Amino acid sequence: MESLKAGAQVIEGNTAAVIAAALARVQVIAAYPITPSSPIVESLSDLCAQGKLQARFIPVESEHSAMAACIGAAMTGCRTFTATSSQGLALMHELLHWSAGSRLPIVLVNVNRALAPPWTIFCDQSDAFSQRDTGWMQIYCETAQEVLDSVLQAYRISEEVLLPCMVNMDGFYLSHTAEPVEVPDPKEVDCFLPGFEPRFHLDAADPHAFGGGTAPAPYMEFRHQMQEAMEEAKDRIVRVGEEFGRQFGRSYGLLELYRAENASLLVVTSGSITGTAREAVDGLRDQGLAVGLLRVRFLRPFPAEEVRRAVSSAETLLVLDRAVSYGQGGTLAQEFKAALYGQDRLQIFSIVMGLGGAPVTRQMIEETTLMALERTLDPCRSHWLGGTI
Amino acid sequence: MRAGIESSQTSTLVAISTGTMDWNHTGTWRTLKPVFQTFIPPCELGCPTGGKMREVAALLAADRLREAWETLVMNNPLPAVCGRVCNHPCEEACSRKELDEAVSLRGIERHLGDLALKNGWHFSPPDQIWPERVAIIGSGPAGLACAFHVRRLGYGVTLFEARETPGGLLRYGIPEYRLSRGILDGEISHILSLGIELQLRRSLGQNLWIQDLQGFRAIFLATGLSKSRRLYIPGETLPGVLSGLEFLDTVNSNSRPNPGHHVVVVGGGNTAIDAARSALRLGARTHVVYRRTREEMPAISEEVEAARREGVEFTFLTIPVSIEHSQETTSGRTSLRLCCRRARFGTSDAGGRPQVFPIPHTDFIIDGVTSVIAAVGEEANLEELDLSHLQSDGGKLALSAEQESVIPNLFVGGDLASGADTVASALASGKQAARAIQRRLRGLPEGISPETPWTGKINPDYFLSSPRASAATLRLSQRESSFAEVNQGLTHETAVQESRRCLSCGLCTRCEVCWAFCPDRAVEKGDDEYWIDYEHCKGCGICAVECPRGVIALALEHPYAGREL
Ligand SMILES: Cc1cc2nc3c(=O)[nH]c(=O)nc-3n(C[C@H](O)[C@H](O)[C@H](O)COP(=O)(O)OP(=O)(O)OC[C@H]3O[C@@H](n4cnc5c(N)ncnc54)[C@H](O)[C@@H]3O)c2cc1C
Ligand code: SF4
Ligand code: SF4
Repeated sequence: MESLKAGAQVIEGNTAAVIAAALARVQVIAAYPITPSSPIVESLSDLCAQGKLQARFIPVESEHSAMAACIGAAMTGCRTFTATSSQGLALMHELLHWSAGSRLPIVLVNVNRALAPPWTIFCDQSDAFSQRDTGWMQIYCETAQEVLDSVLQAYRISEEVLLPCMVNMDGFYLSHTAEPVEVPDPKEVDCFLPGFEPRFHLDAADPHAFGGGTAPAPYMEFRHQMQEAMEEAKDRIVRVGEEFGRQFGRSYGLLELYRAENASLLVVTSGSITGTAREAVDGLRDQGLAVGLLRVRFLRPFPAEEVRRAVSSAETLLVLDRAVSYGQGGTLAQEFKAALYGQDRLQIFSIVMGLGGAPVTRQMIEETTLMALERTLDPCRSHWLGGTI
Repeated sequence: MRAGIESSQTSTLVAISTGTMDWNHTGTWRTLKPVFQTFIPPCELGCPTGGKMREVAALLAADRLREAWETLVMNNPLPAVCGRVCNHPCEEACSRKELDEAVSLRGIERHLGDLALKNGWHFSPPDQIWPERVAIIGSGPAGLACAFHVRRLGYGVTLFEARETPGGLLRYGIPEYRLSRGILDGEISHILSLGIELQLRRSLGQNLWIQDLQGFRAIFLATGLSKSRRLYIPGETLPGVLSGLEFLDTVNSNSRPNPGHHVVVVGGGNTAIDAARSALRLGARTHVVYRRTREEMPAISEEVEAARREGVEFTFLTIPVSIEHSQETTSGRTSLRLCCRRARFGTSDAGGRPQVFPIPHTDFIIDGVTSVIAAVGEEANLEELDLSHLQSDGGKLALSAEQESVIPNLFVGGDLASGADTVASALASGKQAARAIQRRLRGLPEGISPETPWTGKINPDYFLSSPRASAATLRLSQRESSFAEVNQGLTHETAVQESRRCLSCGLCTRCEVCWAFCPDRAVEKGDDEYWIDYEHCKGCGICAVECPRGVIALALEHPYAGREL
C-alpha cells in the first residue's frame, strides 16, 4: 500500500485508521465489514493477506464474534485492533462490557453512523454515545490527521491504564473525505509506541481462568478500580498528548478550546461538526460577539475538571449534539449539565441536530448562537434543528 | 474464586482463578446424559450375513490386510464370490450416500477375497473338536456357509451334493463372465480344506434319504429351487422353448449351446439377464420381454445396465400370449413366432408392486425367433425331495424362527426355505442354522450382542466429498464372444482409497471433536477410548450433536428417564 509511506499525503479518514493500525504494529485484527467502516476492514485484510502487515486477520461472522475474537487475542497479550459502525457496534455491546471488565487495551475505530430503523448509512453519533457506560474510553476526532494520531495515542493510553479505547470518526464526513495527512515515520512511531508488555495474560504453562464467578465484595472492588483507571487516564491522556506533540509537532488533550478567550458563549461540539462551528464562531467574532468554541475530544473519561476550568468566564453554553438520548435530550448536553451542576450563573442550551446525516450548516449554528445569546431558547429542553422538523 | 491476588501473574485488576473449579459438581445440573456407545453401522445392518464392513474398511485402510480378511470371513466364507455377485444391500444402506456415494464395499470385499486366494491365506481351524457330526444337503451358498460355520465350531461335517461338482447356482446358474470358475473353485476348496467330507452325486429322494442320516445329530437342508416356473401359454413345449435355468446350466457346462441368431428371453430377474447376456455372447441378437418396467426388474441394477450397454434390447410392459412355428427359416433352422400383448399398470398389490393388466387389441408378433427362454422364476420341488410331509397346510415349508422343520434337528435354509433370494441371504441362513445347531448341541445360551443398531446420523459438516472409485471393465468389443469376467475389480490402491471413504458410522475414531467442543472440559481422553466426566458434564448435548459419526447417545437422566426425549 503506497500510503504506508511516511510524509504528507491526501487520504480519507478510513485510510488514516488503516495506516495507524499498521504503524501501531497491531498483531491481531478481527473485524466484520459494515458501511462506512468497511474500507478499513478490507484494506487491513488485504495487507495481511499480502504479507505487508505481520498480523493475523481473523475473519468472523458478526461483530459480536469480532469483539469476542479480539478479547481472546488480547487475553494472550497481543496488540489487537478492530473497526466497526452503528449496528455493528450495537451488536458488540455485550462484549464491550466484557473487554473493558477484562481490562484489555483493545483499540476500536468506530465510524459513526446512525442506527436503524429507518435504514440509513449516514452519520450521527448515537451509536457510540449509547455505549458510553461500557467502560471504554472514547475519542471523537475532527480530522483524518486526528484519527491517525489518536489511534497511536489510544494504544499508549490504553496499555498504560488497561482500559480499551474507541476512536470515533464521523461516517462519510471523515471516513470518505480525503484531506492532507502527515504520515509519521514508522521508526519514530516505534519510539513513541513500543511493543505491548501485558501485565497479565493467558499462559498455557500456568493455566488460570479469567473473569470467572466472583463474590460481591471483590466485584465491587474490580469495578471501583475501573473507575479509578478512568480518572487516572485523564492525566495520561494529557501527558501522552503532550509527548506526541513534542515528537510529531501535533499536541492533543482531553478537550480543545478555540477563540475562547473572554468568550461569554461557548459552542460545544464533538466530531466533524467542529469544522463548521469554527467558521460560525469566526463569523460571529467578526461581528464583535464574544463567542468561542469548546470541542470535546474525550467523552470517556469525561473531563469534568477541565470543562469547569474552561467555562469559568462564560455565561452561556450552546451544546450541539449529533445524538439523542430519547426521553432526555442531547447526550453531550447532559454530560455538561452534570459536570457543571451548581454553577448557577451558567445557562446551558441543548441543540439536537444532524441526526442520520442531516446537514448542519454554518448558518444554522450562527442563528442558534444568536438565539442563545439572546436567551430566546428554552434551557429546560433540547431544541431539534434541521431535517424536515 | 478469589481476586487473583495470590496468582503467579499477580494482578488485582481482574478476577483470576487461584484453583480449579472441580469442586463445583456441575454434573448435578444434568437432565440429559451423553453416553459413548459403539453402534452397529448401517452397512452391517444392511448385509444379511452381518458383514463387519466398517471394521474391515478400517483394517484395510491401516494396511492390516490379513486381519481385514479374517474379520470379513467371520461372517462370510465366500468374499471373492460375494464381492462379484452380491446385490450389496450394505451399499444401499451406507451413510456415505448422504454425502456423495456409498463406499464400494463389494469392491473391497472382492479385493480382500482375491488377495486371500492369491496369497494362499487359509481359514483358521476350529479351536476345539466335538464328536458330533452334522449332515448338510446341498452345496450351494447356504450349504457351504453352514458347513463352514458348523466346522469352525468344531463339529464333523458331511456335505451331500446331487451333482458332480459343488457350488449350486454359483456354478450352474451364474455365468462365468460374472464369476470366474477359478475363483469359485478356490473359495470352495478353502471351505472344504477345513476338514469337510464332500459326497457328490448324492441326491435326496433318489439315492439319499433322511432316514439314512441317523448317525448325524443335526441336518441342514439347502437344496435350492429346482423347478422353473412355466409361462402357461400355448406353444411353450415346442422345441426351441426352454427355461432359463436349463439354458444357463448348458452354458455353464463346458459344452456351449447354440441358441441360434435371435433369442427372446421372458422375465426380469437375474436369470433373465444372465440368459440374455449369455445368448448375446453366443452370437444371438437378444431381446428381453418383461411385463413391468425397468424400475421393477428384480435383477441387480448394474447387471441390467451392463446388458443394455452390451446390446440386449428390452421391451417393457409386454406379456407373451402364445408361441407358434414360424414360416421363416434361417440358416436351415426352423424358427418361432412369439405373440405378445401390451400391458398397463393397475393398482399396487399388497407388496406395493403395481399389478399388470393386458390391454386388449394390442397384440404384436416377434417373428424369426430361434430360442424363447422362459425365466419367470423358480420354485421348490418338495415331492421330488420326498419331503412333502414338511409342508404346512398352505403348501409351504413349516419352519420355526430358527429355521427348524417339524422334524427335530432338521433345519432348512437358503432359497428352499425363503423362495428365490440372494447369495448373501443364503450365506446368512447357513450361518444362522450353524448357530442354532450349536445351541442345540452344546446348549450354549444365546450370546446377546452388546451393540445396538445405529439410529444416529453423520454430521456432514465434518466430511469432504470424495468420488467413489470404480473398477475397470472389459471393453464392449471384447465381450461379444467371450465369457471372460467383465468386472476387473478394484486395484489395491483404489480399494484402500475406498476403505478410507468409510465414515465409521457409530464407532469412535478418536477424532477429538467432542473433546474440543465440550464447554465443560468433561470429555476425557485416554489412549484407547474417551469417556465422560459425569461429575462435571452438564448435559448440554453439544458433543452428541457435533460428533461427526453419531457415537454419542443422549439419554434422559433420572427422574426423567423413560420419558420422550
Ligand atoms: C441365474 C441366476 C443368477 C443369480 N444371480 C445372483 C446374483 O448375482 N446375486 C445374488 O445374490 N443372487 C443371485 N441369484 C440367486 C442365488 O443364486 C440364490 O439365491 C442362491 O444360490 C441360493 O442358494 P442355495 O444354497 O439356497 O441354493 P442353490 O444355490 O440353488 O444350491 C442348492 C444346491 O443343492 C443341490 N441339490 C438340489 N437338489 C438336491 C438333492 N435332492 N439332493 C442333494 N443336493 C441337491 C443343488 O445341486 C445345488 O448344488 C441368482 C440365481 C440365478 C438362478
Ligand atoms: S455380502 Fe453383500 S451385503 Fe454383505 S458386505 Fe458383502 S457385498 Fe455387502
Ligand atoms: S460409511 Fe462406512 S460404516 Fe458407514 S455405512 Fe458406509 S461403510 Fe458402513
